[in-house]
Amino acid sequence: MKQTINLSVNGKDWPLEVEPHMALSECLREDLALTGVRISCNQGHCGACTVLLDGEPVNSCLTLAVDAVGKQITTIEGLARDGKLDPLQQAFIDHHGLQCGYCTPGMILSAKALLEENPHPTEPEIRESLAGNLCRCGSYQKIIQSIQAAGGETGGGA
Amino acid sequence: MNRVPARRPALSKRRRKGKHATPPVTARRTKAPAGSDELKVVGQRVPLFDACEKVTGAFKYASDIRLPGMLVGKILRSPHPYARILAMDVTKAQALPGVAAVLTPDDVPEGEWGERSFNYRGRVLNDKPRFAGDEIAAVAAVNEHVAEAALALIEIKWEVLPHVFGVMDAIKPDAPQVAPYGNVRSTVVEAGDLQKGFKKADLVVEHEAAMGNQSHAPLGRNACVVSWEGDQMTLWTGTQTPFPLRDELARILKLPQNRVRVIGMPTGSSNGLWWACNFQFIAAYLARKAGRPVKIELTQEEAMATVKRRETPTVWGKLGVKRDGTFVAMHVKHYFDNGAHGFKAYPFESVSDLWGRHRPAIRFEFYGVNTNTPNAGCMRGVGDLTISFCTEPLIDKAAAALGMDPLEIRLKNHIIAGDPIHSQKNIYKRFNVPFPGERLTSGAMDQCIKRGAAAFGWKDKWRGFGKPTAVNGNKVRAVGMACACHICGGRHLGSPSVIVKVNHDGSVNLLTGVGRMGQGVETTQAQIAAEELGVPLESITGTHADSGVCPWSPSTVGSVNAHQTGMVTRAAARDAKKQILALAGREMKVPPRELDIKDGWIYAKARPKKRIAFAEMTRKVHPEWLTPPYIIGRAAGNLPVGRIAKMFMAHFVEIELDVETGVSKLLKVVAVHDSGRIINPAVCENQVAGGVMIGGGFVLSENLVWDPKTGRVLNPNFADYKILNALDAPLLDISFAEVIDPVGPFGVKGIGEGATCPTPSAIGQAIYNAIGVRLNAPFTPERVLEAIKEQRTGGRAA
Amino acid sequence: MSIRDKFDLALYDPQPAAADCPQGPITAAGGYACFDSLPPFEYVNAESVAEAVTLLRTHGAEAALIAGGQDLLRRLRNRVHAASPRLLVNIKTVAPKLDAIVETGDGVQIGALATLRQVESSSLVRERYSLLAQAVHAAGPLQYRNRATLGGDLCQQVRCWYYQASGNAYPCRRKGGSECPALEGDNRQHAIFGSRDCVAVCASDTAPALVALGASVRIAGPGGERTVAVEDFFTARGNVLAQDEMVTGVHLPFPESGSLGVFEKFTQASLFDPAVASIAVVLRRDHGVCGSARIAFGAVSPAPWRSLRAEGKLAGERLGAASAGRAAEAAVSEAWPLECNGYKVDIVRVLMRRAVLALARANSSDA
Repeated sequence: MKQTINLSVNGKDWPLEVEPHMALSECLREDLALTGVRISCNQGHCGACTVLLDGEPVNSCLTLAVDAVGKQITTIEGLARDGKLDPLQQAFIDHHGLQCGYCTPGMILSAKALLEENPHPTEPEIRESLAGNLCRCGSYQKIIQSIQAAGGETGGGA
Repeated sequence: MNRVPARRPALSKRRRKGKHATPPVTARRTKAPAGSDELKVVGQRVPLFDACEKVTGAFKYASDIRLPGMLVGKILRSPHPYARILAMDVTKAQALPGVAAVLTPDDVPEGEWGERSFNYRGRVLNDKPRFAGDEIAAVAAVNEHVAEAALALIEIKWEVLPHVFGVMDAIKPDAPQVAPYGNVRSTVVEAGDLQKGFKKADLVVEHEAAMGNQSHAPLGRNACVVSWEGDQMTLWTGTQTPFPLRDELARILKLPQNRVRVIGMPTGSSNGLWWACNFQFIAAYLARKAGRPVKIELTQEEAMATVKRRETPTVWGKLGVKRDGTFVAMHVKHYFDNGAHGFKAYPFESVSDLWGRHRPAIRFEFYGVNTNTPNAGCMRGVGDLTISFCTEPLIDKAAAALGMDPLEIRLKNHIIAGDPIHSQKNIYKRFNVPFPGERLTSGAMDQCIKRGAAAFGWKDKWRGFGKPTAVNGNKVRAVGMACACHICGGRHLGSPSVIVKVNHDGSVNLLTGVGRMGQGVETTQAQIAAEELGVPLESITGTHADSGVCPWSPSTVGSVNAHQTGMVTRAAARDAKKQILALAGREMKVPPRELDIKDGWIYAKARPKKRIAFAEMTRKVHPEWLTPPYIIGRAAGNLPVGRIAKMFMAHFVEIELDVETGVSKLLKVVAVHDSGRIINPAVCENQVAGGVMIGGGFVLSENLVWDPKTGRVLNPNFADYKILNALDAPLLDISFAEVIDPVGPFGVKGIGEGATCPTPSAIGQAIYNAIGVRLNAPFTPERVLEAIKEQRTGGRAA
Repeated sequence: MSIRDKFDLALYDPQPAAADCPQGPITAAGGYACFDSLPPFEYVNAESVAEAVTLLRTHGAEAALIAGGQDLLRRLRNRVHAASPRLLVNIKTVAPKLDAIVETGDGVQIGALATLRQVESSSLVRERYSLLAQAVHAAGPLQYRNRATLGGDLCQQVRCWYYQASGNAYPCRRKGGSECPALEGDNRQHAIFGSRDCVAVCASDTAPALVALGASVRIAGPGGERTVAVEDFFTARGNVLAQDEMVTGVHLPFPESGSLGVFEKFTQASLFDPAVASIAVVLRRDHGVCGSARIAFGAVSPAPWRSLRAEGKLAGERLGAASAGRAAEAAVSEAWPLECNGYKVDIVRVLMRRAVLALARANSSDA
């Protein structure tokens, strides 16, 4: 039976009618057209569907939409503000922290959560924070460099 | 129309204005290889064309496509490794409300379809399925839940047949025959008299090697959406091979090629997985029967257990060597598992030529074998990865016996520019075309080895074969190195064709038929076009892989694009340039041959100040046409006959092995590649990094497992099929040899495939150096520990 | 004419058709298909433990609890079971919330709904039970730890690629069937200790740590609450929870003075991979001599495996290389590896030895 819920996504509230068995990943992709939420394994192993719930990375494929009520949901589409890319997004472009792009939104969101908590992470800290995000193109080195660059930049500017 | 949003202007604006934006492309030039003329765009680390869309989530893959009225298509699979369908009752499924169509083997042609590179041969739906997971029926329904209920209502009466899983079992004469045309296909690459060669040898060594089952394990879903309008079909799917897919769809659907429009969407990491795949053919028939658009999206399990995997190899080799290390004869037998529907006799083997400097007699035999296991075919580094996993240890055995260093023996025997290439002979033979003889265009294996050794500190770390670099308690450090080569496309793949459209405002559309899988082809082809045309890179956008819009291109396989397609892209840009200069010559009253274009200016070579902006020229009203001119540059062509390019590479690895647990950690990899001139160093570094992770993962942790009884894959997921993650990634030091290929566009060769090839052998050598035993892959902790134990109890092997 | 135009399958080395296969057994069954959408269910927010328990009682096998959902939703997606629950009872809404981590008179109480992230971040846990903090951290990457709860991690289903196969492909003993496909199949990831009834392995990294710490589980049911030691919580094919019971919390007794602990998870490659085997040891030291020890292994049997033999060997021993070796041999003395998992025996031996050596070092440096 459909339930009427309200989801706060990327700073805006959306009234939605969802079935309880709708995963947050599907709700964001299908009802809100936020296809930057990527689905690959659908089993909580790959991290492609990572979104931030109240700033913390979770796998949206293993989170029900009805369980996200009352939380601030951030998807990759919510990072750029007023047409200006987040420094992390810019760093991923400049430092080639991507190839096919499928893992990229999840990678950036995991990195975003890391930098919010720890603006100057060490390389081992970066690696561990990305352990739930797989990249089959194997671009890890440049992904790590991108995050280091963004970390340096946000830290330096603060 | 290509559905990928074109948002180039936004990106270029940010790039110019943003605080941390990339400086203009000319400002960040990396050191160009010696002999470079003044290249403006080729050689630059420009960001990927689609980077902005990828980091904002706006990028679209096939799974993002939705059409009005679209149905969900799902596939029914065989639970048996080999069986015959005696009867299939679909009446209950068909009657279920919400079911639009049920497709059975009766609805598809009796004849088989074939993937162009022999990765698949079979019917669209099989009434005699050849592996557990083979496709036997499909349903189109209003949603997945109805589809699920419908498939459960299909009743089948099976005759279960005896099956065969192992390659060595399947080649036996009395083995169950997996396909009506027999289990074994074979070819031979040979040159010289093998017997005489071995007679000349002072030393003969042998080696046999086997590897595990590697899954492409794609990160990223693929889907196929099909919509029919009358007898015209549009199909969206992630594919590396949009045109070969289009051609085969048209052939089997008996439609003219222009009525089948394949819109090739970008794939997630593909590594050879998403070519022409059977689910795309199912989707085409299902949508036609349902009379509505259908989308089949494969789950991770389907992608890993039913589409394709790397051919599982068993390779035996024998090498004859003179006392001074000169190779005189090499005999190799390469058996590989084609799985249920692979149809390959020859994995396009390039390494068979690699050690031919002193013209040894060679005989490389290839046996492709069908078994009742998941389909097998090309995966990144196909053939050269698996065969070098035998030839590299073979060379090491010879070096050890002769007291040579692994570098020394390789430096003595690798081919150089001008050396004869035999490995393409087969292809000519297969197509009944006389072999013209082929010679290598360029090659700098020596640079790869020497520079790699220097960057790695090989001299300080190498202690000899079977000797670790350092031992600290239970932790053993060891190093290893290996070489390989791979093709850069090939004439047999077909002739790429490219269109360069110059718009009235001076912006340019580049149209090619290449497949997009994150390798950066959109960017690198545009760099070639911009360089040739003399315009800024920002003025180019690309449309690729749409068979209704773009010109024909070969499959994006075998590292074809940078070298082979790039050559044609350059020719198309040159064609456009010629037309513009003709118009500009009339406008400027200068003979066109005295004009050139650079940085967006058309100028007189002798008087550079006499110039006109490119975009001004394209806007000018043509005095006869009464509109600005519309310029279309075009080219179709193939590589020159008689010359062939190969990429070369040497990888150096350092591992730490725990002798108590058997776990090997890959600490560092130094990779030096000869890929000719490097179009975009950042793109190429990422390609090499990915290759190392795929090759390293294959031998360290990846292994697809099927149940010994049911044949069903047991680990079609990332929890049980372990790919390397951020915690496992080694430190990488990637660099490039300074080579300018005489054939490739601006001297470019290819890179993507070869990057996987030497890593497994290099790790294998390091494991040998750590524990003194040569192991088959994967080097699981279990296998390593077993070897250590055996060695301790059984004494050291010779 | 280009080579491309000559492309034709018939040109490709055709071979004579082979004799057809002999007749085989005839069976009637459909095929299988891969689905991974969530199957439909109703969803109820329970406002109290009593309401949750009543719902479970009313709906029987058709109802299931959901907290973090990290194990449940994955299994539902994969159609691991023959039937999926028609009602999910959400216990995240229970008041008062079941996620508190508080000190009680005799130890620390962790609510069943505390996320693993909460547990590992809790100063109470970090200071008093650092091996639990390590085990919780190792349980999975951040995305998992942010959603998974301690109660859910304990109650999660076992690791076995037959049991977990999609579409209920193998209705094995744990699912009420009569066969165990792993016994004759590929059992590299399976058990080496305990009964051979089911050879799946405990997938929880926190469970062995809790066993070593002597923790107990608080269980609520229609008749009120009961407490069960974590080591008694697991049964050969599941756990002691009745259909209408739920875990409300975990109680950790205060460590005895002078006790030390160590946790180690051994994986194929890196920390968050599934454990090949894990070990948790808590022992009391007394002038370099081991008083009493509690030793539990993970991923080697369907339940956390407490090694009484190894504990017995260590008691009264001076911690060092000799006692480490004896404990290791005692630990593996009960193992009966299957065809493909003998490696686990080696790893258990190494883990045991290394754990004792680590504790010996901690001992001497403390002294």
